[in-house]
Amino acid sequence: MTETEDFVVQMKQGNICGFDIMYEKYKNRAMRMAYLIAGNYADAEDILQEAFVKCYCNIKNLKEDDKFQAWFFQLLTRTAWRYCKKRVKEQPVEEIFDIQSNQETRTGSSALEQILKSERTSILMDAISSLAVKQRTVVILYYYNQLSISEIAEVMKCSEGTVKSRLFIARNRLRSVYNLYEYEEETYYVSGERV
Amino acid sequence: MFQEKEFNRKIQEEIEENVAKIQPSDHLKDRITWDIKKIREESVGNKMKKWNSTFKRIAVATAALCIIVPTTVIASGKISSLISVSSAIPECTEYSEIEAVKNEVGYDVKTVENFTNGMLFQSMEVMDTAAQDEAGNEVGTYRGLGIHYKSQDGVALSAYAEIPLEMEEMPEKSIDSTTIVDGIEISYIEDNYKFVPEDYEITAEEQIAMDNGDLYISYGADEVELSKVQHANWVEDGVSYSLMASDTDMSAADFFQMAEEIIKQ
Repeated sequence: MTETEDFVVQMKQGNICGFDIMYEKYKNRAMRMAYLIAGNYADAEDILQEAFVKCYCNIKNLKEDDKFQAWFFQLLTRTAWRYCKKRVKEQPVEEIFDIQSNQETRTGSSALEQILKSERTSILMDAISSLAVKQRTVVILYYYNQLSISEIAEVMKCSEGTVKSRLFIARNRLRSVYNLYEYEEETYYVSGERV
Repeated sequence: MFQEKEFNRKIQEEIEENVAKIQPSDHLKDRITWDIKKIREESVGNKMKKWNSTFKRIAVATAALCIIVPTTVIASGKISSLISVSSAIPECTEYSEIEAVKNEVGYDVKTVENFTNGMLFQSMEVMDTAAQDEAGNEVGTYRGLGIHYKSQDGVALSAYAEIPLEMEEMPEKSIDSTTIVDGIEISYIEDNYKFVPEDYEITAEEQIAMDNGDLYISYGADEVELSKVQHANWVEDGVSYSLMASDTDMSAADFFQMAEEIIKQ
């Protein structure tokens, strides 16, 4: 029995220890997913809280224990979508940069590189944030959770074709933003000033 | 221009870097644990459905005989529901500890170790119950004693005490039969319960049955469960007793006999 199946069985038996193990295993990844989808920390925590409580209460509905991860991510994304629907996002990109700016300066990075990286990140996160919520979710599941197309289809309860199509559109959008930035950055280095 | 692979790698890296420091707060786990605890209690509470103004309550498919005694005066405010919560005092499986358990309850109540019909003592516990008004505000708590019995063939019995508190009007259920023992009137009632999940929609037919007091619907079950609940109730020295069982072959006479055994203690 895998670790996942082990804690799922424990949870199904009402054993809170199983839930604690699961929480520790998934809390950070789930929080970051929720944050990326919802765009702000407060909503992300609320989503996480609701998703974990639902997980505990509905675990008996999970038929195949080894499918826990997909089942839990599905629960989390649906909760996050509901939050996105009912709430206006609260400056997600700026908030990301608040956190980013509090991070320690990376070793070996010059101030200029830091600024450029920060700027590029801003543009990228802005672009991700501007995607439709289901496209954004595909991007998060693909790039952050590193799930395969078929796994994403399972989480999002849609066909693989739909996932591919959403990913294609999202990727094109991100690529165009990125390419534009790269062009600007190259121009900056050549002329020594922003174009 | 980025190549596809390089582009994917950069997107991935930048997303990861941007959320690397994002973590749930230390309090989140407490919030989740609290929610789960509340849901579990409410689930139990929902299954402890009150069904008339005399505070009778029911436990689904329990193997319990409980004698609950009020010990705390309820504050002002109309009480519309009762939420049963577990007491911090552990369940006791030795009947010899009955006096200590009664001390925890704070009242002396009549109890029997075994009934002559083969219902045997299993365990006992102190039970705390919170009364809520219609808005869900807690308006008081009281403590009771629960004693659990079971027959050799697995038939379970439960009982609930009544507490003389003002409560919103609920449909009155007609008494199926009565008897008198030592001047104390004992009533026997059979009720039909349907325990349903939170999203269950009540049909028009069920609503009519509910309005007539022929059916009680209680939310909080994982799936729809039907149950016929039998109970005998009486009041002695200000303490209200109920003997209760669900889906058994016992008759009203069986219940009266067990009630008499308690009364004659």
